[in-house]
Amino acid sequence: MIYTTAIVFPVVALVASITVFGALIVFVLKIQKDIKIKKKKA
Amino acid sequence: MDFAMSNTSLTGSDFFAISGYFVSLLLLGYLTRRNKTFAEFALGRQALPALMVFASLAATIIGPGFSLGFTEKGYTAGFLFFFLCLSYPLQTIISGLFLAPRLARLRDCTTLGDVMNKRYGKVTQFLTGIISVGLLIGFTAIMGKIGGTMLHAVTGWPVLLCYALITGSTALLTFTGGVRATVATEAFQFSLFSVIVPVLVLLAFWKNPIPVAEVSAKAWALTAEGFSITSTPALLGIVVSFFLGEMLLPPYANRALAAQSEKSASTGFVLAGGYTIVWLGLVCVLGILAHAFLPVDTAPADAFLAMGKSLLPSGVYGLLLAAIIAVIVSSQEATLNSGAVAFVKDIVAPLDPPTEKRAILLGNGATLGIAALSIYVAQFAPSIIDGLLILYSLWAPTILVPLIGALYGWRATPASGWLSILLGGSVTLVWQVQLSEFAGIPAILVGLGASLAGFFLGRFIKPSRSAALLKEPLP
Repeated sequence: MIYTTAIVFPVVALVASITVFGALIVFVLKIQKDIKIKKKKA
Repeated sequence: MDFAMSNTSLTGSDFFAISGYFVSLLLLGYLTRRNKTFAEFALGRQALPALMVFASLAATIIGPGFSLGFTEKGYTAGFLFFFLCLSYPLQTIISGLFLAPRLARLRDCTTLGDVMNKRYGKVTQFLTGIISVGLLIGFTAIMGKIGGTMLHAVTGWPVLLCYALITGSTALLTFTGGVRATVATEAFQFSLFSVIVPVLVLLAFWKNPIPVAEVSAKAWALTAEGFSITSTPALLGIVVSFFLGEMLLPPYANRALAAQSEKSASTGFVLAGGYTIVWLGLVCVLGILAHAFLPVDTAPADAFLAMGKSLLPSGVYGLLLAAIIAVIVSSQEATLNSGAVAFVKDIVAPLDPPTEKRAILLGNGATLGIAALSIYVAQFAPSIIDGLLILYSLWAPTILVPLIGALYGWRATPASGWLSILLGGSVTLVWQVQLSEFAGIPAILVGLGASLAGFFLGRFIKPSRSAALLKEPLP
C-alpha cells in the first residue's frame, strides 16, 4: 500500500498533469482560432 | 482548520513563483474570455472535450479539504479516511456512467433548474435555484475562510482582508470570463498541483530516514486505531455523506451540460473519479510519511505545509504555496460561476425573464454578489461550518430524487418535483437538527427516503400537466 500510494500514484498524477497541460494548450489555441475566424467574418 | 505555521517565512524566489502563477492565470483568463451570449457565459459553446471536463472536475473536487485536510487525516489516522472516502470517487464514476451522459444530451438546458423545469415546471426550478445558490455561497465561504486563514498565517494581514483577497481575486478571475475561462484556468491549476504535490510525495519517500516496513507498520497501526475509536454509525455516516453529499452538485452538473458530447461527459467524470482515488492516496501517504520528518508536537493541520517547508528548496516551496492557492481558487471559481448561472436562470428568470444583455450583466453581478456574501458569511465561523454541514446534507435529499426521475423519465406530475424537494429537505432538517441523527442513522438517508415518498405522493396530487411530455423520457 505504501509503495502504491507513494510511488505509483505520484507517477500517475505526473502523467495526468502533463497530458492535461497539453490538452489545455490545444483548447486555448482552438479558442483563439475561433475568435480570429469570427473577427475576420465580422 | 487552524494553522499555526510559525515557520512559513517566504523568500524572494517564493514570491517570484507565486507572482508567476497569478500572471499565468490572468493571461489564460484573458485568452479564453469571450461571452457574447448568456449561454456562452454559462456553458461556453457546449464544446468541452473529455480531458477538459476531467481536469475541470478534478480541480473542483480537489479543494482544501481533499488536500491539506486529508494530509492531516493521514497524519492522525493513517489510511482510515482514504478507505472511507473511496465512496466519493465511486460516486463520481457512477455519475459518469449513468447520469452525466443523460445531462449532456440536454443541449437546451443550462442548469439543473432547467432540467427540473422541463419536467416539473417553474416552482421546482425556483426551489432548485434557491438550494443551489445557498449551498454554493456556503461552499465559497468555507473555502475562502480556509485560504484566508492560511494567508493570514503567512502574512499577518487582518483576517477579513485575507478572506476578501482570496475570494475577491477568484471573483475577479471569474466574473467576466464565464465557463470557458474558468475551465482553462482550472486545467492550468490542475497541471500545477498535480506536479508539485506528487514531487513532494516522491521526495518524502526518497528522503525518508525510517525503513519502509516501519512506516507501513505505523500507517496500519494508526488506521486500526482510527477504526477502533470510531463507532460503526459514525463510519457509515462518513461513507454515506461522501457518497451522496456532492452528487451532481451544480459545478459538476454544469461540466456535463457543457461537454461536447455524451461520451466526453461520461469519460471526463470517470477519469475524474479515478484521479480522485490517486490524489487521496498520495496526500494521505504524505501525512503518514510526515511522522518521519516532523517534530512530534507538530499540529496535524500544519503537516502538509510543514512537509513542504522541510523538503522543498526555496522557490519550489513558493510553487507549493501557489499550488495550494490553485487548489482553493479552482474550487471557488467553479462554485462562483455555477452559482451565478443558477441565480440568473433558476431564481431571476422564472420571476422575470431577462433579455440576453441583462442576463450577462446579471451573471457578472451575481458572481461579485455571491463572492461578497461569501466573504461576509466566512466571518461567522464556526457557525458557518454547522450551516455548511446542514447545506451539505440537504443536497441529496432535496435534488437527487427529482433529478434522477427527470433524467430517467419516471412517471411524475409537477407536484412530484416540489413535494420531493420540500419533504426531503424538511425531514432532513428535523432529523439532523431536532433529533440529532437519532440512533446514528444519517440524516441524508432518512431525507432521501422522504424525498422518494414525496416524489411518489406527488403523482396523486395533480394530474400530469402534459401526459405526452411526462410519459416520455427527456431526449
